[in-house]
Amino acid sequence: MRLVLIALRNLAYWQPRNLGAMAGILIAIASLVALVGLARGVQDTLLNALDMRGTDVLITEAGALDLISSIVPDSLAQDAAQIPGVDATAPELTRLTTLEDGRSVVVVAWPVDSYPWDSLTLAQGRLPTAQDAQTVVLGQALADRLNANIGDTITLFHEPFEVIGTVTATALLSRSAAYARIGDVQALTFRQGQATSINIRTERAHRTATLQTLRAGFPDLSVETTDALGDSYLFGRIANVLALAISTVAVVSAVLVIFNTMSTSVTARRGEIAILSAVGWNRPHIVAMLLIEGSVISMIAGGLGILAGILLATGVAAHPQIVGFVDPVINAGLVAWAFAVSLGVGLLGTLVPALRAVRRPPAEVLRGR
Amino acid sequence: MNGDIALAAHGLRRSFHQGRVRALDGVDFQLPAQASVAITGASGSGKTTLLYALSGLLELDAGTVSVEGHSPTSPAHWADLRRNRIGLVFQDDWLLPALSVAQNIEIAMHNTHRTAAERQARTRELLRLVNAEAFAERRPNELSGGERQRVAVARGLANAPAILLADEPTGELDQANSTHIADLLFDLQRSQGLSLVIVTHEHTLARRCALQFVMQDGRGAFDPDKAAP
Repeated sequence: MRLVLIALRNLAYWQPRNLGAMAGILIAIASLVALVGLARGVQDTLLNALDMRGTDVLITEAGALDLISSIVPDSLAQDAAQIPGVDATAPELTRLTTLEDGRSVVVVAWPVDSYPWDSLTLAQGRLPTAQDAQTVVLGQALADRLNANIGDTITLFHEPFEVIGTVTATALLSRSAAYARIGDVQALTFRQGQATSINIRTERAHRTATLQTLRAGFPDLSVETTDALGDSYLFGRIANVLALAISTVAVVSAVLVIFNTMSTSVTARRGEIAILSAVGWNRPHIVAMLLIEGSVISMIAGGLGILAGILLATGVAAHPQIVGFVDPVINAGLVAWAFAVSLGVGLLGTLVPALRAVRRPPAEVLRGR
Repeated sequence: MNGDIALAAHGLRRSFHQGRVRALDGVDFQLPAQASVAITGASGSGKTTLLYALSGLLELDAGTVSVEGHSPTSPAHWADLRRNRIGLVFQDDWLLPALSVAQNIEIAMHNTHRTAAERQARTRELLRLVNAEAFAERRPNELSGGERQRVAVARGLANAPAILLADEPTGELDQANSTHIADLLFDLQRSQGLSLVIVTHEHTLARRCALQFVMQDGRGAFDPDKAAP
């Protein structure tokens, strides 16, 4: 009988115990994948939305905690448009409000005919014009969620808005947002003449020089490329730290759970290990058999844990209170990393108790039955 | 190699519980080749500890054991001897529950010079020897105590050892099975020229051995009423 066959027969026989071990590893890996995926997703969701818009540089209030709490004069858009290398500008007022169903929604407002509207692909209806008043375009995900059609009325800021179009977008936040004329939102939120940020599209060839000129021109404001935006805001930095902390906690938890599970499993079989030694098995062969068993358990549980983690993260992101705000980032790198953690820690968690078990004189175990 | 002495031990010492219990207190022992020795004594006298010491399953505080003239110095060396020269049978059969009867016998031949076909042929031969062919594919938990012990004997003989060490091989069995296992062991000892050591409480079994080694309080000596080795 080959070593692999013996290991597989042991795995099949000790099913209840192995299923317990697998459950422990599965939960640890699922938590790891879900937590890290969600933490990464919080930041990426915002950056994807900005990137999709074609905005290269964003002017915001210096020291603002985040994009929504920033306040700048909307007239800065005209001033910035005069800077050489600036291709287009658009003031943006972003507010978070509550719908009638109690769920939150992001409302993004720009002047009609400004360039960010071009990033939206109309699915139905039309975009706002200068003649409109209190009209809104809904991201397709939001329209589906509200079951809203063209011509319907929804309530934003306690005022009725007519749905005149639905749009599609690649970024989750863009698909889940509502889009309105900046004038309407300024009036209803008491922010006349104010914006949360100034979107700037630069000429590609002069991007670096233009950024430096903008910074020199607006020394009292935050002038950042969208790529660096995540790190420049306190919330972005918090998200980064949280992602790192959650990853660390999740990995350490996974390591401890897997280590404990495999250790318990090996310890419970010390009689079997002792009898193999008694019939002449060398220590390396016994350890190899246990490692084969540990690796099979780790691989199966790791694979299932990754799937469970993806489902868990997707489920959390679909929760009514946060739907549309977080798109979990679970890429091949995270999957490979989680699988490596499962296999690596599973093998290590088997190796340590296995070495301890084979070093124990068999007589101690065989006499103690 | 000393051709006359299969197993020899000198000055074996082993204590437990921080030295409070002296299980072996300077034991000298010899097993002549192809002879049978019963190790007897009261419970706690050190019989089983001596057997484990003779098979390298126990770390000693002092003393030496030599097997056919060789003194093993490492766990790997002891494992090699148990795989090739020493067979073991325990009071509890210690069969692996995940494997069938045949596989429990075959597993003792793992990592030997035998090919897979040779291992299977040897397994069939041993199954016939202990009259276990009928339940070769059954799991240990489907067998009676006597059947399990026969399988354990077959496993101990898997690699055609020169020395068989048996710890209370009939201790858990009823009279009929006990007699059957004892007959099997002595038949094998005679037919295959085994050197046999049996730890036992049973006088009947002990009397069937050519020699008797009596343990008391960690010390041992051959019974002068039986021929000394």
